[in-house]
Amino acid sequence: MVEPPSGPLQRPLPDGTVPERVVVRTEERWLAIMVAMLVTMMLIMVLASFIGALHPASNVEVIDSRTLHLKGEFVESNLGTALEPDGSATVRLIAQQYDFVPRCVVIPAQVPVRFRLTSDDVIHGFLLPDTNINTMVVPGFVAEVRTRFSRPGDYVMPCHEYCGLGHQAMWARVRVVPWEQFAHRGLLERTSCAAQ
Amino acid sequence: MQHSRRLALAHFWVAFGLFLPAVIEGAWQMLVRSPLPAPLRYPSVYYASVTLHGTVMAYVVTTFFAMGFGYAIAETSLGRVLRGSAMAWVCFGICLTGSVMAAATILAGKASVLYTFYPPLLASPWYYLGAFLLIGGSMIWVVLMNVNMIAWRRDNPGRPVPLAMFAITATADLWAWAASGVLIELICILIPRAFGMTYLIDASLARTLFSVTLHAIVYFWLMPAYIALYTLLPQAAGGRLYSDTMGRLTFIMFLVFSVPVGMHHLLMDPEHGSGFKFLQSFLTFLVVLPTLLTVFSISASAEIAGRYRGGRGLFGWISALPWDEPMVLASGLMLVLLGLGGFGGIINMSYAMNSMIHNTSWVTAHFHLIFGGATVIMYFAIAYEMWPRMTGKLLRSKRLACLQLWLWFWGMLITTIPWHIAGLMG
Repeated sequence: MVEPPSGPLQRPLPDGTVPERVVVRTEERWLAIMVAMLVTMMLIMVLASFIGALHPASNVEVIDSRTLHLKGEFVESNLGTALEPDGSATVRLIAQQYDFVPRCVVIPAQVPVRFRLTSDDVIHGFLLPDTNINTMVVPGFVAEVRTRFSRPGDYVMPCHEYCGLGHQAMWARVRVVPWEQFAHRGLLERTSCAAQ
Repeated sequence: MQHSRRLALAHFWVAFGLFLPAVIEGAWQMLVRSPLPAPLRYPSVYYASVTLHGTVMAYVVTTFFAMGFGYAIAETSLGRVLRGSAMAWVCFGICLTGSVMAAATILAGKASVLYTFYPPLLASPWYYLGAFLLIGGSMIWVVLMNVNMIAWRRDNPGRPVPLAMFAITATADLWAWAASGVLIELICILIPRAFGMTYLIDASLARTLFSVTLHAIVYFWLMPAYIALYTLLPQAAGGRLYSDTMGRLTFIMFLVFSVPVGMHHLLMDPEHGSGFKFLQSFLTFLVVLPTLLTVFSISASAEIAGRYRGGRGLFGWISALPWDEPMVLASGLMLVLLGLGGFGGIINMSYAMNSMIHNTSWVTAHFHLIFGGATVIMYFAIAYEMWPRMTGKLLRSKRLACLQLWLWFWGMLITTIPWHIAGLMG
């Protein structure tokens, strides 16, 4: 074995260059400051979550992915946007290789919106840029995310989890329209805008 | 290090030999994603290439590097011949076979599942078998590190284990824990399914098991870099380690805190409840602590060296450090990359804040800073330090080595800063 080259400045230093008690004192101070910093950050996180009601999709709701198209809320006729009696909207989508069904959904602005998604093949992801919407779509589970769109406009909706060789083509659109415009649409035009 | 020399060198050759094609692939992928012309711009080639890049970088390079470094440390720091070197060669053979098997399957286009291979997306069984041989085989190394440390302690009662050996054994034990998730996933779920022995797959169970691996593995990648900071840097800078105790505490903390962290990757998953996600967020915060302690301890060690070399004043010791030493330069650059990457990481693990950036290129930027940046730059420095010791030939040019480190540093910043911005856009 070859020793590393030793220049004039690499001679060994004497032990106790810094006295032990100084080392211990500075370390204890640093530790206390860092723990205080982390506790503060945790508190901010907790307060933000509870006061702002910010929670990721955690509804833990199971569904049989083998019978999605046969029965239950994810049959084809029930997909897209539906209005609830309380005035809010529920949007049901299926993510599959390599499409969201339906490919385009119409949503009224200014009302509470609930997205319910599931997959019938592999894991997909669902994200709407500039909103708080972001969730994984895992087969066997229903992912539910809630939001409210303040402005009308078109949002792109890419799949963000690699789902196979056609992953890059997996896009969908969300078209947010003013409430009056939504109310005047026929039932079919409300649920999907894929044909437009 | 006469006896383990060839052993450690063989591991380093595999690690850096595969690093080169994988890094070229990375550069090609950037070209494909850019508006510039790129050859072979097909989705199938691109996804196979991303899978190979990830598999080689995350599993092969890191495992071989850590194993080689471990053997070198065991012999130099304990000052005696490595026990079980025959088994170490067997381990080398198994891991290499597994790596070749996995790489060949990807190159054949039969395993474009990315290195995270989340089912129900399935690859050829040979890919999973290759991964199993590599990761499972490296458990022999874990046992060897523990055996060597325990044997030394038995022969030297009352003396503390040298810090480097203590730390690499902690690294090995951390790897055993990290690997347990993916090994169970491979044996119980993926390999039986890929061979057609089972039909249904529980995607959420597989994903949860993989998350046990996917974060702790980052500390396995990072620990050799920390070992260099604690044991090689003070010497290269011409000083001494500020506090040996702090070093040991750091490595124990990493070992303990790496146990529950991984599930923060599942914060946006529908298969876990919010209470559980909260808990995981909290536990992940704890891992920040050993890194903050290290930053303090390493800065203090560098200050000792700087002042000893004649540095004066509040910051004068910084300029007095020997920045033309690759180890010193790499450590300085590493702390910058680690700081930026760590900042992004705190955002990632913060429960609801995660929804802004989950699965966007922000995350790609984060782990390229922590692994591709902070960790790999220290792997380079360790290689510049250890290669001369192993071959007996001095480094031809330290200036060239330092130039390479600077290039890598700027390259990583130029790559990751736009990724962060793009990630925020969605």
